[in-house]
Amino acid sequence: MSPDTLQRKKTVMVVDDNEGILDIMRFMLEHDGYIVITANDGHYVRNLKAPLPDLLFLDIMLSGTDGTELCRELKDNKKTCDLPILILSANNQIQDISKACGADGYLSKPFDKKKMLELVELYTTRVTARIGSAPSM
Amino acid sequence: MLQNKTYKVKTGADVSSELKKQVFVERCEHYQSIFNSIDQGFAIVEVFFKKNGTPYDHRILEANTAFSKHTGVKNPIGKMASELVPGGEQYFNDIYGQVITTGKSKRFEQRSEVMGRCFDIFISRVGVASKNTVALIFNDITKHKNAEEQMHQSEARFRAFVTASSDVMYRMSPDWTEMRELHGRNYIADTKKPSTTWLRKYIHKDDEKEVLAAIKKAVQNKDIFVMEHRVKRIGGTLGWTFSRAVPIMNSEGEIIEWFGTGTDITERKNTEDKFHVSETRYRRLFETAKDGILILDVLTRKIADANPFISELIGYSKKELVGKELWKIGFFKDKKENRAAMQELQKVGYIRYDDLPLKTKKGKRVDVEFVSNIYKENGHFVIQCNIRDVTLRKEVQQELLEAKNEAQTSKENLNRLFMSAPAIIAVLKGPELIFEMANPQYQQLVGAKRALIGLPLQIAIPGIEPNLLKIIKNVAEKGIRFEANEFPIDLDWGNNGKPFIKFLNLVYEPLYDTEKKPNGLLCFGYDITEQVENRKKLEEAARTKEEFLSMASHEMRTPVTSIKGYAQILEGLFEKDGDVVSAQMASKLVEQVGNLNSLISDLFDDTKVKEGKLDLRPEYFDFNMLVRDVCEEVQHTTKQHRITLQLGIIPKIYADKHRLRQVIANLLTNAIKYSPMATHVDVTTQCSSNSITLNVQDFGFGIPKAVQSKIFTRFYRVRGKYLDTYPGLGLGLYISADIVERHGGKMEVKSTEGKGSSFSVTLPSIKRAL
Repeated sequence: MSPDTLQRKKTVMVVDDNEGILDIMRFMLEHDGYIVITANDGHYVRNLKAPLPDLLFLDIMLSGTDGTELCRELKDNKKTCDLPILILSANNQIQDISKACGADGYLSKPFDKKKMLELVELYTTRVTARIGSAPSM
Repeated sequence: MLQNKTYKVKTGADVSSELKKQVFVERCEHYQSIFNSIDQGFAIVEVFFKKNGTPYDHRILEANTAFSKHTGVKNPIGKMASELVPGGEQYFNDIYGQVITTGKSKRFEQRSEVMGRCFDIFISRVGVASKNTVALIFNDITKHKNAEEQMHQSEARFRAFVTASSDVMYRMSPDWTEMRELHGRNYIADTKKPSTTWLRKYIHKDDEKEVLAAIKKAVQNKDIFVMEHRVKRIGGTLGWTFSRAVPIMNSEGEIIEWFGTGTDITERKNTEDKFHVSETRYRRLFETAKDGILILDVLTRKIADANPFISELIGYSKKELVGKELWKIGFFKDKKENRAAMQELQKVGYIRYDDLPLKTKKGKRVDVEFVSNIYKENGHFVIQCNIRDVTLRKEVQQELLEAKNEAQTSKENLNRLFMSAPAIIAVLKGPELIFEMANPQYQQLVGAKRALIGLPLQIAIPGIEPNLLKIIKNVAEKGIRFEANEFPIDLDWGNNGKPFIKFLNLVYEPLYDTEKKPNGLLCFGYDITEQVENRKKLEEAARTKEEFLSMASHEMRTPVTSIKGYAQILEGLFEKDGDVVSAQMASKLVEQVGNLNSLISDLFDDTKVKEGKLDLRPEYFDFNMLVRDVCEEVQHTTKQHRITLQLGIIPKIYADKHRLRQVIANLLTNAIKYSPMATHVDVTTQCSSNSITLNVQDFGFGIPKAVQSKIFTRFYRVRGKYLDTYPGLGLGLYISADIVERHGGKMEVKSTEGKGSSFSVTLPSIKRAL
């Protein structure tokens, strides 16, 4: 994170039913200076209220909840539609899935730490970059 | 001359008496010689009268030679008539007496019965009456008189004929130049006065030449003229005449005239003509007929005539046939059978054999139809036999029969085939679509409990779908063929509410009536429900498999993700603590997890490549940037190799970035993996007018030439002393090559064993519709 953006710590929310992933993401992101909120199911996201995080990593298989549905709901909601969402999945079709549900981009599992942090920085700082397809890892 | 001399004598009257005497003698001699030289009889006659003045005898004073010749009286001079002719010639005495008394000369014709001759006599008085002398000159006209008499007789005969006959009568001059007369009998015009224009008057122009020739011949030969020719009739029409003329000849054998008759034969001629025409026609038919014709004598029952066709048919000449009985040329078995047939013919007037086997002269069999009639011709009974060659007809009949049998067999075979074929076959005919045929498979499919034949479609299958009925009617009524594969038909025709779908490969072929109007259809179909269901099951299985693979790879990647994540955290932590060895180990762990992830991806991609389902998601991007990015990533995994980049100027390309990343990574990891002793890998990109090329050059083991073509095949791995020790599934290049090919590009290798390999990827630079 570049010094001039240190005015306010950016908040990254990670939703995944795998505790290990949440653990790793939290460690990596907090280590890089982000505030991390994690959730292991989709209910939390459904009741998401202001203040919203700066970025949301969303797994699509959430043990009972379909991440793509959640993504669509958030994008359809006026209050949450500006929240950048990156689909986080090991699915081979991640590119198509993320496009179909209106996500801003995706991060394939397994991911490279460096690539992940670059992506987070991109989406949390460059507001204009939210529009259009996200660079893939 | 005579007159001159006479004149001279008269003028010399004054000469002396001696001279006078001499002159007289000379004159006498002279006259004597003249008298004697002429052909006319001459005499001086002295007539003796009775006292009452009646002449009773005469004496010849002078006579010339011709006198004797004509009268046959030798030395007549001085002789009395009474001496020469018994009883004298009182007739002449009287005439002489008259001439002397009257002084008038007389000329008359006289026939001498005694001499059988006729004379033209001239008598004149000599000197005065008292001299009782007459001169007599006469010609023998016997010949002339005879002819005249003959003519007279001929005339009389002619008149008699004219009176007696109803025929045309005519008389012609000896050379026919003149027609003396013709009595036309109201048939042709009369000629009453001699005419030289008779030919034009009577004879048809076309016959002139022939008539004249016949006349010439008759005249020359003094023979009868006989000819049938056309004549111009009263009223101008043409008629036919039978003309016959005989020459009338005199005693010398010379023709004096022709005496002819003409008979009107117009009617006969016309009948003859008609008969001739009909005879000609009959002959022609007889000669040219394509049936054999034999004419038999009714009495002898022998062949009297045979036409050319029968000769040709059975090989006997007409000469061989005429005079033979039918059985002798094989029409009947023997004489007995022949007789029986002829008796039947005479009884009924007609016999017929439809199929009579004959043998030709050469022994070849001919089948004939034999028809025989008996009829009257010119008052005589004849038998006509018509013989028709039916060999060909029989052959055709036989062929037809065979064809019919064959067709029947074919029909039966076809029917058997229809009945036993593993297909649904039915034939529907007419506006009501009546089942003409429906095989058991059809019956079974539609669930018919009774035979469908004869039933209209809508009665046989009342619950038929309206749409299907519409299709069927379109075919049967409009001739629109219908063909569909996997056509679903709901066979819940019992209306029990449950759909009972069958899939059929179906053809409805229109059938046509004799006027080529659509009049029904042939239904031919295969029930492929089972195949369709099987395929659906297979498709389902494939889908399940894909889903499983997708799920499996997802499930495997989840722990991989965690391991990789933790390893990266550890690496960071060790680095922070300055524990270089641990940090390197953690780094190796990250690298190995990366390899594991690649293997998982390859396994998943392999299935997709194999099934041709590897989909591309193209986008515009900077190819060089991608190459640089991948190289940088891979560079992290090796410390021994330095990846050198030499990138040309390349426009953005439209391709699947993620898949091309996979290709580049595969080539680079291979280059490093198979060049353990090398220090660098060279990567270049370049651009041509229509393609871009990526080249990855290593300096490792290289690939033997023999196997270079195999390295892109599935599961293929290069074998060798050291190579076997390198792990791998043999899928990387196989998948990479497929990705490149799907982009319309190609992947190639150039390699020298022991020196290294160069892999190149060529992609079309222009945007392609992928």
